Amino acid sequence: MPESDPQFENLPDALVARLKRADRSQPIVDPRTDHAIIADARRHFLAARRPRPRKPVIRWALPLAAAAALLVAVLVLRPFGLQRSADDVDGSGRVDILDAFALARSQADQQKVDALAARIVSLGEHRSDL
Amino acid sequence: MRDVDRRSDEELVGVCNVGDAESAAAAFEALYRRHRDFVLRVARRFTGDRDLALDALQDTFAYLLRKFPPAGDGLHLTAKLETLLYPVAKNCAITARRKAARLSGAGDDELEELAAVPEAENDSLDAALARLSPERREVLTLRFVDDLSLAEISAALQVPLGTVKSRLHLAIKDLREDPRTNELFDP
Repeated sequence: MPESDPQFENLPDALVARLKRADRSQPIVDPRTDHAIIADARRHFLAARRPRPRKPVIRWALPLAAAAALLVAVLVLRPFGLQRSADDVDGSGRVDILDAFALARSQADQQKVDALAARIVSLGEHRSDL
Repeated sequence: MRDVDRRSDEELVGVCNVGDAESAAAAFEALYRRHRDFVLRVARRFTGDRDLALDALQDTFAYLLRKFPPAGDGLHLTAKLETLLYPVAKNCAITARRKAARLSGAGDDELEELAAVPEAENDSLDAALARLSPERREVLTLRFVDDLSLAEISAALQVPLGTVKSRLHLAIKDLREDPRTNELFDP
């Protein structure tokens, strides 16, 4: 008996035996039903476990490949794109009059400062970005 | 698979959830063979008829099968499998009995009750058992025929544990007070 509470263990054996006999006296065996249920299960699981489409791989592979390509492009192009102009004295990424001021503050040769200022003025609207 | 599978129900259910087709089907078959007789007993209690019980058996395991992918999300056992199978088998049996009753033109009265205990009129012990209310006899049967614990009966019937204890206590009290069974109890 699975329960340990003595309050519920006092059914006489004769009654338990009679209950079981009434319930189990006519075992039902039907191979056709067995076969039908097992065949259903086989169909169910065969349908369930067809080779999975490669969606999960594609889902991850595409962003990964795109990210890798972007990284490569940045690394390859960076030296050219980020090549700083010698006139970009303050390192701001653009050559403008502030670079002339920066050069002046660095106590460089006045001629160089003037030359830079002249170049900047001559650049006009074609300011040089990095 | 005719051999006895030594894996636990939890292991077999796990294989049905995620195993490949062959092993999942074999695991389901093992579950079926392990619990078939229990389901049939329950189905027969509520139908009182062999063919209807077989229909209910098939419906019960079809329900269980649909719990597993791709039809279902899988099954996570938190109690004995019998506690899941019992209400399913009972409902399938009652449905089968109701259909049969409609086809034969019988009424729906007391369809949810247990079928009559066989040979009740011919035996005083069986008659005493048959006199119990269906709810009390159901708990008594789950306890002493199916050997379920009170907690498992509570889960199977989806009623509070206190209700199970009460029904069982009253069932035993009825039998103790019944003159046909009274002498079987200790004084």
